[in-house]
This record gives sequence, structure tokens and C-alpha cells, in this order.
Amino acid sequence: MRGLARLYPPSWRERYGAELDALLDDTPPSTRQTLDVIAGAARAWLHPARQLHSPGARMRTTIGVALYAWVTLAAGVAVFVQFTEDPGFGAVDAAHAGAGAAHGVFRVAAAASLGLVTLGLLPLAGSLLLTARRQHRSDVLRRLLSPVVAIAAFGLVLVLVVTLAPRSRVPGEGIGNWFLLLLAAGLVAGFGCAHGPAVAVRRLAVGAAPTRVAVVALAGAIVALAVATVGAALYSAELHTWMPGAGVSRPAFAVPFVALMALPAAIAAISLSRGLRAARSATLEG
Amino acid sequence: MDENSRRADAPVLVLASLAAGAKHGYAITQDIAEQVGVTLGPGTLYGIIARLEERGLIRALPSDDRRRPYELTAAGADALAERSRQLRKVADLGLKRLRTAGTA
Repeated sequence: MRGLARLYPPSWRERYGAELDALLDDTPPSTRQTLDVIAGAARAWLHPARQLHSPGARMRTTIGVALYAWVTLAAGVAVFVQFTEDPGFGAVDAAHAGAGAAHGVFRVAAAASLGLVTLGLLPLAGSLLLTARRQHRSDVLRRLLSPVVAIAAFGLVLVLVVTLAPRSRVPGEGIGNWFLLLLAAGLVAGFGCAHGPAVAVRRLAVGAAPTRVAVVALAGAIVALAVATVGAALYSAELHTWMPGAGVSRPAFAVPFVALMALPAAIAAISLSRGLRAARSATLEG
Repeated sequence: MDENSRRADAPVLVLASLAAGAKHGYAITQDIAEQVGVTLGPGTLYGIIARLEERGLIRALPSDDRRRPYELTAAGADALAERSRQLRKVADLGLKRLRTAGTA
């Protein structure tokens, strides 16, 4: 009977696992009890928010989900930047106040998001590193170093693409496949950056304060990227009037772009609402 | 008592058990089994404990033992009192109607 507690999600086991093990030790084994635990574990996987009350575990789960969402949104922002870096866009921004304002909102919000993630996650990263070293958790240390490996690997791909891609006088001509390769490498590197820390933060509990700061910072960073997406959509609409030849000005780009950005933002919003509630609860508990 | 009724009333049974004092998981199941003849499975019990704790109706007490006790909060006592009054009304109505019909 005792091994049945392993059927529950890790965060649930962290909070209630020892208690459930104790109860299973005290309970005579039977088919009915076994089925009851299996059904309970299934409910915990299906409805984690209803089946877990542990502010710390909830916040760490939220950090993992929000990191994946942030990387996805940041990739979308990077693609938009890539498509609007031509000097011609600067001329449109200078000539038309609406376009300039929308592009400005996009840039400021994207920069603010990057700043919030960097500064907000530093205390948690430091705490995790120190705790992992103190507890000799080499598995956690490896996970925390994975962003360095991912960024180095992306840098290598970038150098290869810049070296091997054909040169042309017309911007963008003949490099479509190279751009797609770079985009794919960027996405893989981005998820590499998010995956290691997300697993590390789930595996190792650290102090409540840096965890709370990380949740709040990620909430701000996701909101900032949502604002950047709105700015990008408005800019795209402005360009539709003032620069109709640009790829980002076409509804065929703008509509899927906003739709693809909305999905990770919605997932992050649900998880962050739970994480922020847990952060508030942890604050009240001291 | 059928399975659906048992599932619906199980949170009230846990609150009622804790109204008599703080208890850990096994003590809660034993108390409920002795008092009302309902046996809550371990998975069901901990699903209920998590939900009641999340809603602030019970709280875990510090313990060095794996068997962590829980106690009723003030909000939990209010919720139990309210639910008990509702159940009493239903019981009174049912018994009254049965008496009127001459079957009880």
C-alpha cells in the first residue's frame, strides 16, 4: 500500500506524502483502499489546484509554468523585432506619431519584461545555487547551468548561419531557410534556458522570500509582454496604412501572431493567479 | 448510505470530527467510522483535507511526527454550524412529511 503515494504529483507528495504514507501504514491493506488511493492520485493530477494546499509548492510550480510561457512569448517578440529592424521602419515611426507610439510601447514593454525577469529571478537563482552546493545536489546544479549551455549552443548556430548564409544586396533575399533554422535554434535554446531552472526549482525548496519575488517578477514580466503584444498589434495596424508592403503589416502575419501570443499568456495568467494567491498566503503565514 | 451521499457529506464529516478536537488522518477516519459508520478511504480523506485547508476551514498543526494533526479554524466552525443547520432543516422536513404521510 505504501508505494501508492508515489502515484501522486511530486508537489502533492512534498506536502502530504509523508502523512499519506503514515495513514497507509496504519490502514489494513484492501482492494477498496488501493482503488481509493489510485482515484485520489488521478484527481490530484487532473485538478492540482483543488488537491494541493502548499503555498511553497504552488509558487514553485507557477515559476516553472511562467518560465516556459515567458520564453515562448519572448521568442514571438524576438521574431517581431527581427521583422521590424530595417531602417525603413524608423522613418515611418518618425513620420507618423501613431506608428512611433505603438512601436515605442512595444519596445519599452519588451525591455521592461526582460529587466523584470533578469532582476526578479536573480535572488532565486542565487538561493538555489547556494542551497544546491550546500546539499551537494549535483543534479540541481547541472539544471541551473543549462541556460549557459543553451545560450552557448545558440551562439554557435548563429555564427554558423552568419558565416554560411548567402550575401545579397536586397535585405532578406535568399535567406528564408537560414532564418527558419535560426528561429528553430532560438526556440530550442529558449526552452533549454527555461527547462533546467524550471526543473531545478521544482526539485529543491528554498526560502519563501526569493520564491515570492520570482513569482511577482514573472507576473510583471508576463504582463509586460502582453502589453508588448498589444503594442505590436497596434504597430502592425499602423504599418498597414503607412507601409503596406511590409510583411508585419499584413493581417496574415498580425492575426496568427496575436493568437499564438495569447495562448501562452493565458496559460501563464491562470498559473500566476494561483501562484500569486499562494505568495500572498505565504506572506500572511510569515 | 450510498456512495454519492457519502462523497457529498464527507467534508462535513471531517469538519464534525475535528470539532471534537485536533486529529491526524488515521484518527479522523477512525472517529468517523465509529460515530457514523462511514469509512473514508485514504485518497478521499486527503483530497478533502487539501480542499478544506485551501479554503481555510482547517489548519495543520506543527508536528515532528509524520502523523500531522489538523484542527478546525473559526471559519471552519462557522461553515460546519451553517451546514449542520441546513441538514437539520432537510431532516426535519423529511421526517415531518413522512409523519404526515403516516409512514414514519
